[in-house]
Amino acid sequence: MLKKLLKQEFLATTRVMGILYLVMLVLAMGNQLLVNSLGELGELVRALILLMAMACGLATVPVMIVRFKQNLLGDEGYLMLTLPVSVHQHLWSKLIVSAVWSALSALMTALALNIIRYGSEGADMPLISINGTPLTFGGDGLLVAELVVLGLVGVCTICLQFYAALAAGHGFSRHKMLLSAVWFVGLNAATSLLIELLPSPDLHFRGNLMADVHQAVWLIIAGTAAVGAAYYAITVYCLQRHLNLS
Amino acid sequence: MAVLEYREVTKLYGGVAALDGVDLTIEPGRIVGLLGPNGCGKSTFLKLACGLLAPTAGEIEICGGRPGQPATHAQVSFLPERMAVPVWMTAAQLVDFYQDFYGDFRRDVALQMLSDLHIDPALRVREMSKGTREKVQLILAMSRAALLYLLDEPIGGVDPATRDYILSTIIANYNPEASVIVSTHLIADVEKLLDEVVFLQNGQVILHDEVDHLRESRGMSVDALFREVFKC
Repeated sequence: MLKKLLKQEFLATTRVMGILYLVMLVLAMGNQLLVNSLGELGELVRALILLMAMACGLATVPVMIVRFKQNLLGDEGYLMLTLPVSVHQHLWSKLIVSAVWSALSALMTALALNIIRYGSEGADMPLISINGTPLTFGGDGLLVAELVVLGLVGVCTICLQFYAALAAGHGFSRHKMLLSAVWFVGLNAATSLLIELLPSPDLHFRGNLMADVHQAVWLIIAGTAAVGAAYYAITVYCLQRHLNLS
Repeated sequence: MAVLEYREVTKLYGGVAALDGVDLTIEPGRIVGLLGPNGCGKSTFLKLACGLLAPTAGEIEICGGRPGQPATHAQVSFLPERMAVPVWMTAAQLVDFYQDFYGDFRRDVALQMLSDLHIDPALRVREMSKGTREKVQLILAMSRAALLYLLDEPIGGVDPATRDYILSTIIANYNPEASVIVSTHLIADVEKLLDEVVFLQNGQVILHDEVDHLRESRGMSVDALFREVFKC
């Protein structure tokens, strides 16, 4: 059933994400024409287009959150939550689709930025750099992979925080969105407090910079995943026990 | 075995009882009218059976399982009062969707009903009139060979001619071993279909009887009895 849910999720979200990517590419390519024809105003337009293209890339998570609310907590919930599918399968389908679109959005944003930079000053500089020095991550492919994992786990955790808050807020009969916002703030505060109260991890730095970085990244991944798991449990509990569709 | 059993089921909304200690058993092969004035708890009753709401107290058994479980959903066909299908989908995509998820979905039956009601399968739900949307939802629900059909106001928004087609469709398309629970205000229209009626008032079952027995003992139609019982 997860495969069937994934198929439906991709069908539904492709319509929105496809438009976002199209807008990004049109903005990026339009930038080349506009900047050349506008003279001094060109740089301002370039900066605006850059921001808009990046905003399209960053819109992935909000799109996925709106999809969750409409699909499970709105009128469509009457259909989706009466399918012979478990709440876990619903959540995993949404998380997997969010992760895939986030990764694609990152690639599309990079592509759009490269198109925008094409022919401009510093276009020969690497996209990810500090004062012109490219960030090579020490030539360590494993670190890049770890950062990708961290990014995907982070996206899923952010989505789950919104899912948990929305599911909890929609368990009430009235003021569902207001109470969802209250839950979101509460979850944020509880997570921050927990992180403050937990004892600091006993890191063993071995004097090898890259080994220490690997250790730190995995620790952050584990912590983020643990927080995500807590949000996941809250979401499942609310969807199974306290669902209160209008 | 009963297809649906409510044992002392209560549902509170912020302290107000939408259902109050409901005890009810529905046997297989019955068409039951769930009747009552607005706000009497009909929709809450159906949503609890589907697992869309959790009861505050009491127990519900449905097709031998608990509401809200995937195995239970596979045996129950629910038609909500609201438009629940994604509006960006076409009727044909919805048929595919139902076929994907429900092993008991009868594609040929769905396509035949779409054709009988002159609904273009390529039409998107958002392009359909309110009545056509309701017909599509009903077609999808009734094209399943489920053990229990829960229909919340299935004929409220359609014209009388279509209403007749839909009612004959309900009779023609449900498995004789299955049960149908219909919540509606249009009692005169559905009365000829019903084996039993349940009257709900203020969240309580005030009457549950066979339609034939009611007509004999009270000497009036269900519609007339409803008007008498719920007279304002």
